[in-house]
Amino acid sequence: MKDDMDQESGRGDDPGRVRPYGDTLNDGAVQVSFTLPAPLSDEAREGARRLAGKMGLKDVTIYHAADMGAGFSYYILYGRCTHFVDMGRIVVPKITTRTMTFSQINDFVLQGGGRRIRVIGACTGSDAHTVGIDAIMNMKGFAGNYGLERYRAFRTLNLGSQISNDRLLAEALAFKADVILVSQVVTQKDIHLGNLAELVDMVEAQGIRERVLMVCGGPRVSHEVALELGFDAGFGSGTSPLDVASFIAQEAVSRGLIAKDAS
Amino acid sequence: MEGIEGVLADGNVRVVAVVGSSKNTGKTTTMNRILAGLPGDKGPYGVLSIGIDGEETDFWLRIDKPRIYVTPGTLIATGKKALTGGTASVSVIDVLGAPTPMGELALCRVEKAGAVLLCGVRHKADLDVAVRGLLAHGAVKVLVDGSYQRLAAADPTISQGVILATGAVVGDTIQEVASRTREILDRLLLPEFEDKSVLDLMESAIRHGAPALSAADGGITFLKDAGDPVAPPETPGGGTSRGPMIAFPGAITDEWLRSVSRLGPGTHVISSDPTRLFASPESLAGFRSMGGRLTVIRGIRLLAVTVNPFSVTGASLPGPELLEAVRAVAPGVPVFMFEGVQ
Repeated sequence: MKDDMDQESGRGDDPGRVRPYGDTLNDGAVQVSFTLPAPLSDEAREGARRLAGKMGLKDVTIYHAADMGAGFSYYILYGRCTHFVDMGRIVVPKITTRTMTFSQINDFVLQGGGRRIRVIGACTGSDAHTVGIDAIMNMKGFAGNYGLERYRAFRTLNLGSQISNDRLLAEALAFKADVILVSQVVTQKDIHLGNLAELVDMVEAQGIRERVLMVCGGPRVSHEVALELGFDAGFGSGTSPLDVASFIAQEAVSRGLIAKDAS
Repeated sequence: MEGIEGVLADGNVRVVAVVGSSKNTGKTTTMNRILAGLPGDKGPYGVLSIGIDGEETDFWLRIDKPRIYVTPGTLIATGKKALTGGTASVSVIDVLGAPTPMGELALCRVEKAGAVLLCGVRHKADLDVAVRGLLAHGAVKVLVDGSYQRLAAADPTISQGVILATGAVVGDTIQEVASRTREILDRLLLPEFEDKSVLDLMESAIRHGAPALSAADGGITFLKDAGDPVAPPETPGGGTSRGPMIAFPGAITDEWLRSVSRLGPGTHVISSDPTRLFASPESLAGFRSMGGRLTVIRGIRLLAVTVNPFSVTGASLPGPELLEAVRAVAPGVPVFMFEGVQ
């Protein structure tokens, strides 16, 4: 069974199936530009046209071509995209908690939950970059937003960088953490994926997965990847402490993780 | 049944986890091969994922992924918000009440064949609920698609059988792939301890939430804290016919194993099952070199290994040689090669 992404016919009854829009609905009109490592010539023009065809464009027109010197040539082409996407079948997991203010979060947790939420954070594996975990946890915060240490609603422990999963688990147990926050900045050879997957399985093996909220973040971390790895949420670039604090507060309260106890 | 689906023939194997030695080893392709080969008149079959599977594009690499194709009658468990993510027509037959980031966990029956998106189940508690639901609604077999290299789905209290997917993505050479595969098999195939009397020791450990140490004189000591792996026990063992025996239902990590090694030579560690082991092969070798033993209460039944000679990086390894190398590290286990898969 072949999915319908690559079929010629994008027009039809289903309004969810769309192509780029130019002059008329689903005409597929697009403009692309690129440089070829070849001097401008009839052969180079034809090469540009064929390349566009391999990109899935038809009715290709070269609008502009110029020799750039040093054996390079530049092209702007118009064409009609033969692919379409079915918007109705795209499912992108999203964080659905609303972003609250600093005061709202404190009140929400302390009045609604019962006690402070214990959050432990670390930058794990061989990763020595604390910029991510510090931006979220340090009292001074980031981009005008206080970090988690400043909130009355949270009791925090920032372990810093190069923390092994072993140690993070041991410290989380000793701290009786409600939330484990992991930052992964270094991602060469996808090393962070293995680190994160192992941590989730470790927490599972320890028998505490249901009792803790697991959150990860980093420049190449997304919510989708986090969910796929078994985390509860993932935050990428541009995340503010408020985003993380809001998620933690609402999830911890709704899951009953911080029901009043002796602590 | 002559294909891989044949390894599921044992009626006692109701739930099968397909786990990987890494991401992109061919877990979903393995699932599809099994589903395509199972006799339609012997169903229905249940399918779910502990990660996110069946999406058109890999969330990490942004490359095409194999989708999960199901036939009418198949039962699936997935988050409600994922129901629009496939091409199959499904009807919701039950809602399990387990909240997931993809909405409530729903049990559905496939009405019209097509692709489905499976997600929402992140941890074992959800997995257990979903598997029980699928079986209660008549699934004769349930297939669990694993996530990355996570082994949680292989927990023998949930899955009676496991299939390991491995392949060129875990190494640049045949030797590297075979070596990495052997490491995972060593973990998966930890032996069961024959003497079931240790069940009492394990139950004590679970009850106290801490490792239970049975010294040579028969006395039991509970170590300070399950989360304090460096806490040395008060009661040293050894000096008699056997070394100390310690039952621990939690995660066995490098640090934990190192601290246990201080109990002395010949220490016997008993874990609940192989999914609790996280110690590196080097740590394990060091522990064993001191006469240490590691066994489990419940072992994993490995049904098959699948090998993918192609890597998402674009590299590939010679199929026949790779197949032989993996067979050499998995003696007695059926090994299948799926070519041209992601």
